[in-house]
Parts: sequence; C-alpha cells; structure tokens
Amino acid sequence: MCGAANKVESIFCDKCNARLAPLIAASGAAGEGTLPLPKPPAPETPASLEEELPSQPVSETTSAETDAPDWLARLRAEPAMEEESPTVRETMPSWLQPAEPVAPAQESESEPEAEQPAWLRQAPAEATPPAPAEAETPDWLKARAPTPEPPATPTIEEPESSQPTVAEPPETEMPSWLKGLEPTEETTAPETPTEPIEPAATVAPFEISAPAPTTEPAVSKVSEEEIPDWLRAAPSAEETPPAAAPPELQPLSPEEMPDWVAALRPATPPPAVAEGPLETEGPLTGWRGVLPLAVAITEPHAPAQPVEPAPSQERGRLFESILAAQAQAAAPVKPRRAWTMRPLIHLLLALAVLVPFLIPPDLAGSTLKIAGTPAAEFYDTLQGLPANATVLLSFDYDPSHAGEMDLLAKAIVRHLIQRRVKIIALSTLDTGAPIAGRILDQAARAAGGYAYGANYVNLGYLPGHEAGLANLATNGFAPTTRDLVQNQELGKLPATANVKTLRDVQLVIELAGSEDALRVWMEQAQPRAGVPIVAGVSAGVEPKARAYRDTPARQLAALVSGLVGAAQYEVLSSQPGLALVSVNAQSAAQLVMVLVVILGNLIFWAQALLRARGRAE
Amino acid sequence: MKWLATAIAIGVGLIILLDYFFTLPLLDALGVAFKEWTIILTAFAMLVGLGNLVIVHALRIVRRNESGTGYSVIVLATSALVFVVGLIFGIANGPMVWLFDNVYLPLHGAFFALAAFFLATAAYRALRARNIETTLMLLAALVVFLGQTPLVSGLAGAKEWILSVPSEAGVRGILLGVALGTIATGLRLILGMDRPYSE
Repeated sequence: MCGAANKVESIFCDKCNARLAPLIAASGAAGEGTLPLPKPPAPETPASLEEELPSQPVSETTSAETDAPDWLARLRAEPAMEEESPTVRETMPSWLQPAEPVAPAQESESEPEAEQPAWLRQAPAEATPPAPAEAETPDWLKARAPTPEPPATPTIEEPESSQPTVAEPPETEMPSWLKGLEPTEETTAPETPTEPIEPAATVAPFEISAPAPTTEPAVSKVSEEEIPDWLRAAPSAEETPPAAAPPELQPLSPEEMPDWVAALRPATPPPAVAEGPLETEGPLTGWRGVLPLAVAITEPHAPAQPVEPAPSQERGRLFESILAAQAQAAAPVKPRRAWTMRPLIHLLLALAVLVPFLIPPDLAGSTLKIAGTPAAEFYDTLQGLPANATVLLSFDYDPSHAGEMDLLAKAIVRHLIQRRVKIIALSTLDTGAPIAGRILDQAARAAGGYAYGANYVNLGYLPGHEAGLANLATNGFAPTTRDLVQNQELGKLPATANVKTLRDVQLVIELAGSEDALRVWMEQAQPRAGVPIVAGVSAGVEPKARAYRDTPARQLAALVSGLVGAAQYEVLSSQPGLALVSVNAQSAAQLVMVLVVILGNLIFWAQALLRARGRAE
Repeated sequence: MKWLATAIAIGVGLIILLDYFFTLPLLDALGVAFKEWTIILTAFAMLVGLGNLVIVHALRIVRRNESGTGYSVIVLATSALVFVVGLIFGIANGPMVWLFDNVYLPLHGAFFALAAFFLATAAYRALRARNIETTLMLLAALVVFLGQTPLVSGLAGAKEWILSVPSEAGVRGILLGVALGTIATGLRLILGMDRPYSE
C-alpha cells in the first residue's frame, strides 16, 4: 500500500493498484441475494485441476459492488486503515489472506512467517508463485506455469486460484503411470486472460459472456500397444484442429425461442431491481429479482424457536378449564316435551275394548242386523248342502290374524258340524295346519259324536303355494297323500274314502286372512276345480273379496267377513259365542276412533283459524 | 351356459301354458311333472331358508361384537327346541301343539293387537280435512267406521254403497292391472326377454 488518498468509491488504488475494498464483501456479493456466509477453506487441489476451474465472471462481482449495502460502503471508506492494521489481516481466515490482489513481494514477505501455514509459505502469493526447482518441476508443469498477471489488471481472484500449488514430488518418485501423463510438446499453452475486463455494470442483459477456459486438459501419452485400432484411425493431435473456444452464453434468439415461451416474456423489462438473483438462462436471462421466491426456497432457514407461553396465556388456559368444568358439572337441561294426544288416545281405546266385555251380550246382539247380510247369504249356502256332504275347508291365515279369523272359523265349523257335514281341512300356509287342527278338535269335542277320520280329516300343509294349489285343482289328491294326525292314506279314512279330486267335494270354504291367499284360490283353483267356493275373510280383505263375489259368474258364491260377520253367523246358527261378545268391544273401539278423528280435525281447524287471525293482526 | 337356462325356462313355460289351454296326455303328464318338481323345490327352499337363518344368527353370536346377540341366542335355542320336539313327537301331537297354541299363537296375536293403538294415533294425525280429496276420504272413513258398528245401524246402507261402488271399482281396476302385469311378465319370461333365472 502506498497510502495515497483515493475516492470513496474507488476499489483499487490509483497509485499502486492495491485493492481498497475488502475482498470478503466482493465474494459475499458474488452470490447474489445470499447472505455473506464465510467460505470454508478450499481443499487442496492439484494444480492440473486448479487450472481447469473457470474463473468467476467479473460482471457479478462488479455489479455486486454497486449494489453493496451501507455497511459495506463503510468498509470501503476505511481502506487505508484496513491495510495498515495488521490485526485485521491476522483475524482474517487463512484461506482469505492470499486472496489479496496483486501486491508487491515485500508485503507478502513482511507477514510473519510463523502465522502462515506450511502450504501458504510455499505459495505466498498467486501473483508471484515461487518458481519450483528445475529438477522438481516436470516439463509439462513448466508449460502450465501461470503467466503473471499485469499489475494494473483489476481481476477478481478466487481464493482457490491463489492457493499454492502442490509441491511436485521429485522425478525419481514419480510413478511410471504418471510419467505417461507428461504433456507432449504439441500441447497448447494455457490461455490466460491478460486483457483487462470491463466492469460488468455496463454489461447489458442477455450479453453475459461465459468465462474463457483457462487451459486444455493434458493429453496423456500412451504406448502404441495400448491404443486400440479405432483410436488409431482417429486423427492425431497434430491433425486435430485447435479446439475452438466454447461459445458464449447467448440468449435465445427470437427464432429459437418457442412462441409460447416468448409469450410468457414480459413486453417491457421490469423496473431495475437492485436485489435478487440474476437469471442466466431461459427467457428471463439477464433480469434480476424476477423470481424472488427461488431465493426464499434456496436460502437456509433457521429452525423456528419454540415460543415459551407467556404467563398471561397460562392464566387464560386456566380460566378456560374452569369454565369447561363448570359447564360439565351443570346438569343438562332436557327440553320440555310437548303434550300430545297419544296417551289419551291409547287410554280411551283400551277402555273401549275392555269395558264392553262387562256388559251382557244381548245388548250388542239385539242391535245386529241379520237379514239380507252377506253372513245370511253364507249361512244359506251352507244350509243348502246335502246331507253327508263333504266340504273342503282351507285355513289360510296365520296366527297374527287368529284373533279375528278364529271366531269366524269356529262359527262356520260349528255350523258344519251341526249339519253333520264331512270336513277335509288343509292349509296353503305352514302355520295354518295346527290352527285347523285346534279349531276342528275343539268344535268336535264341543259337539260330540263328531270323530276324526270318520267325520273330519286334517291334511295339513299343502306345499307349493300356487303350484301346489294348481296341481290340486287339476289333478286332485295324490294317491300317496296322507293325513296329518293319523298319517293314513285318504282312501283308508271314511271321511275321504271317496274323495280323489276337488270335484268330489260339494263346497270349498276359503278362510283367508290376507288378500294373497284368496287371490291364489281364485286364480288357480276356482277356474279348474269346477266347484263352488265361498270365503270367510278378515275385515281388511272384504273390499277386495267383494270383487270376486259381485260378478255375474259368482266366483265367490258367498262371503262373510270380520268379527261382525262372525257375530252375525253365531246369531244365525243360534250358537252365541265369543264373537257376539267381542263385537261390542269392537263397536266401542270404532266409536272411539271416530271421536279421535273428529277431535283431531277440530284441533287442526282451530289451530288454522288461530294462525289466520295471527297473520291478520 | 346361459342359453341352456333360457331354453329350459322358455320350454317349461310354454308347456305349462299349453297344458292350461289344451288337454293332451303328453302335455298333462309334463305339466303334472313340472308342478311336482316345483313343489319339491319349494320344500327345499324352506330348508335352505332354515339353514341360512341358523348361519346368520350363529355368525352373529360368534362375532360377539354385534348388537342383538342375545336375540340370536334366543332364535337359535327356540329353533333347536321346536325342531327336536317336532322330530321326536311329530308336528300334530301333544308337545308340538302345546308349543304352538301357548307360545307361538299368543305372541303373534298380541303383536298384531298393538296395531290398533298405532292405527288410532295415525288416524288422529292423518285423517284431517286439509283439502277436497282428504275431506272426501275422511267422510268415507267415518261412514264405514260407523256403518260397521252395530250400535249405529243407520249408516249401514251408506257403508254398503261405499264398499260396493267406489271401493269395488278401485279394487277391480287394481286387479285388472295386476292381471295385465302378470300376463306381460309371463310373456317376457317365455320370450326370453327377462331372465331372472340366469342372474
């Protein structure tokens, strides 16, 4: 350092060309947009590899200097003090010390020898590398010796470039394979940039030039035996034209750039951005700070430090926990159920069903209409049966309908027994067979002199549903058919000895608890059987059963339905029973239902009227 | 092999249909045979249903984590009890008849009787004169209710008219529709347009 006064913005001394701005700032600015992290010491690299390293583009450094922050500008303002202060140099890392610009050899030698590492002593400065001994330096290395740079050239020197070269071992220690790597005379000399480089501040975008390669790799000399044939055919080193310098990185010409990429490029260049990375490729080449997100992604992020909860937050949590405990401790308030009519309806219905059983049956029986009713028609049909006639009685209802249908079935069976008509019972339902057996047995015991086998037979369940009924109507009873109770063939039982088909019976009585059972009989048996069919059905089936009765063909010869029909039949047959008593309860229940319906409509209309008045007001 | 099932179904359907309209010894024999086969298959279907019932409830008991496991135990226990009693004593004799008359029949009757209370509540809510249609329906229901009651014999004629004219007209329409639908379904099966047996 000459100690001459220079301008604040000067980087190099006007007198001695010594660097005034610290290099660490330049190196830090080399990585645009990144923190000036200290570089680790560069590893020792062989001289051959070191030469292959491209030099740093100058333009980035110079541009970084123009964009240097304030703290860096202050550093520039004190160049002399920095140079004159030996402590600053001592505190600098060792890898940075030789990165000084070209300086006189005296200054390098003035540094204390003891503080320099061994490798640094061997290479005190890049500008003046110590000339190795002629005996220790191979010829190829001599040819690669770096050319001293002119002192006036403001080149930016990378720390790696200033590292000392590795001391070459003596030639006697060099292995044979390494000798083969000795460069030949034809090896081109390294091209060292000697011309000064213009500051990059004047470099326009898209005109960034790639650094020129320093040297060409050494060509090893291989023995002729080791060269393959295909390689011999290749042109020799003399014939090979000198390698052209790599093309400079140029932006894509408009012809090479696809249209869609060109469309993405902004029409006008963005405003000058002082910070951000410089784009070196793609359609944004030469622009800076266009993609700031990339910096955020590539920058190392410090892990988030756990935040200690403040005491106020702790107190807030405690307050919340107290509130939650109080909410849990409080008993849930059940919504008050609205009063409904349901309990009252159920109570009225229960009373209506139970109370009539306490009054004498004559009261209800006296009000029953008998003449001209369907029950009377049914009664007349049974009364018209000849003596010792045989009827087929089908119990096609399940236990759920037994409460209603049993009374009707008992009334009919009692009448048949009274008439001494032979009964053949069966069922198209699997649960109908035991019902038939129970009713027949009870009625036979009550009547007396009416024996199983002789007067009535229970054939049980007729499987197959429609197919079984169609087969029965078409082909009659199979010869192997046996009764349910005695397991006897039909021919061996007096009641069924002469019955082979449905045509052998005088009447078919269908006791249907559901519409389906009656429909199957009407569809499968009635057209084929050729025998009159009468039906006793539940009250719910009556509307549908009427359709079979009220026809010109009289598919149903007679129809009796429900509990009322059973009561009428009991009256007609002069055998009052449970049906006549139950009809009082049923009548009372129906009256309650009518009252409930009327009450519901009154409430509905009252509410509607109140709502209308509310809207009017 | 679906064509074979289709061919069998169409053939059997045609034979049964022709047997209904014509009296030929061959058709009669085939018709009787097919009907008996159907009856046998129906009986086996009941056995298959029983097996499925046992498997479903047994699996529910084995898994243990399903709700209603206790009911499955009751179903399997009672099924096994009735099955064993029927095998030993027969279905038309003492123990079996006693079980039917004293367990099965009262349970079904009681369950069905509860419907009266639900129907009463439903009638209270649903049978309301909101418009002309519901008013007509309400009036018809009230007339049939009262006409069915021996104590109010004055409405018996009105009840008989409602059941014989409007109600029966609707029922006939329903029956005719069901019959036409049955014919259409039978024709589709015979013509092979519907193949539920091959699914």
